[in-house]
Amino acid sequence: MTSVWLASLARPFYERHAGLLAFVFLVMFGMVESSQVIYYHYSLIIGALQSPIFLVLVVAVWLAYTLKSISFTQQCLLKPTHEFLFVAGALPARQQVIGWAVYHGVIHAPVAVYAAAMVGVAMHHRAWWAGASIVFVQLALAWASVWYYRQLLMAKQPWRLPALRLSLPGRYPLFYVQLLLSELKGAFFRTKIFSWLAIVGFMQIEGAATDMRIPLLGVSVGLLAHTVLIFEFRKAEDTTLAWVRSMPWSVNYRWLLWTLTYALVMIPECMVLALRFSTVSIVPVAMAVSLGFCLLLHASLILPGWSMDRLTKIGFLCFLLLFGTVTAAFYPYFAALAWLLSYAMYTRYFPRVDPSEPLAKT
Amino acid sequence: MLSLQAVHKAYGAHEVLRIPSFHFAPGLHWIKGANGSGKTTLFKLMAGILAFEGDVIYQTTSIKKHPVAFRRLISYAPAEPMYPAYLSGHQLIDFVRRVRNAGREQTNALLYAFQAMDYAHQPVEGYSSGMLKKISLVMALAGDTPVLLLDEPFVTLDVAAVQHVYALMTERLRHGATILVSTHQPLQALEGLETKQVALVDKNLCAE
Repeated sequence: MTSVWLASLARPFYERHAGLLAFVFLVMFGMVESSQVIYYHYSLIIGALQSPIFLVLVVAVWLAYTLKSISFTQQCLLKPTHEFLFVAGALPARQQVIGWAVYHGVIHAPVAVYAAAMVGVAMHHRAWWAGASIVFVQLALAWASVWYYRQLLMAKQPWRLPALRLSLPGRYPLFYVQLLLSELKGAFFRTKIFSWLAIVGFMQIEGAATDMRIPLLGVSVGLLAHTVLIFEFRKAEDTTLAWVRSMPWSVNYRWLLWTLTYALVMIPECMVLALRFSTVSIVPVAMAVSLGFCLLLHASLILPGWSMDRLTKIGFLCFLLLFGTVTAAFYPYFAALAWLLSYAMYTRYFPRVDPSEPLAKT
Repeated sequence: MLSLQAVHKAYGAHEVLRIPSFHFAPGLHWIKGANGSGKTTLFKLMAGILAFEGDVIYQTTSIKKHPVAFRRLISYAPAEPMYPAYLSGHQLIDFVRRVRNAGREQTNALLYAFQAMDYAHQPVEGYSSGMLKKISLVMALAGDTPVLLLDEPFVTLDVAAVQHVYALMTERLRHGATILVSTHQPLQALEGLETKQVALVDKNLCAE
């Protein structure tokens, strides 16, 4: 039964929250030099062990994660596709508790690993009370989770948490951000991890902290991975968000909104660059280059008869062009040219093409 | 007056509409036509969703020459609403409310009237077709546009909601609105208001 729980609940949990976990991972481990990561986290843990307020904040984050996982499990159990799991209510209590405890352990693993590291540091520094507190909190969260899951299956009128759901304000660019954080979590997670690895990888080259071209080469490689997201954005623009065409917006304004949307998408890369490069002047440059690339590919999908196949080819061509211009330090020209070309294509073809046409051949 | 001038629409080689000229005076117009006759295409191109040849003009505002100003004057409720599954009714309505400068009081009143307040905070992925239809009607009725395009507005709605749509249409018509309704169900007579019937036959519009 445990393996069924893991396959039908734990796996979807990680798939659905991949984007969020990737972001947290990026914030926790991607913002500092790789050689400094262990020392950085060791310092953080020491700080948490020595400051009760800091420790309470850490516990609050763990509690939020637990509530999120409980809420997700509850939502799954309410779906008709997961009704079969209620058959577990017929199992002996001991088996149920063990099954739910294993499930909790699996979805709580990211927190548990960090908590274990904190306990290890606490023991090493003889901070017995802090270490015991962390163990107690982890056990309490596990007990509460198992109790909650069991009562969902067993109680006649189970107590249910209100649904925890990201609900951004009703603004057009945020619709796409929410798309990334909901339906495209997996693709978003993979894209950002790839992009982060590309930037970090190029930053290992000597002189990377001062020569802007080197991190920009990493950005170029990372941008290639964004092709899938760009395609999904265009698909949404032409299907579930096609009705937005009836809104009283000029084509120039729509263009600006797309610029803003892609700027939001590229924030994580810019944050990594700002922390790793010698000056923050790389941020506007990287943003301009990234926007040029993304908008050019987006606009190319407005053209009639375009499909994912052609986007892949154009994307690779743009990548080669970008990589070459960055190497030759001509990247401002690439950014300017890509912006102008994409603006011309978008403003010319968007009002002239039906929503479904560019995707007809996919 | 809402006018169509030399409107031509084709999907590839398949011609759907060819309307040399047609005028809709203020009032209620019942657009009739068989399935596949082009009613939804007509509504979508008038709403600015589909590209087409020709022009649609409301009073002096042309969709081709003044695309933004024209879209401010027209609202469209689709026959089969399709919205991102991850957005809630509140998010969608909030978006349209801001774009159309509508008051929150108005959209809240519409939500209450359609008995949609209880579920509007949930993502649309869990809505039934009737629930989704109500949200699309609230979005179309947000603001005070003088032209309303309602494509099959009564399909999947409960009896109370249908009556409320009629009440809202009556109110808008008394303020001089132009409302185009496409429906295969008999349209109720509105008290003191005439319903003009328009048939979409052989790709063209003709008054009955």
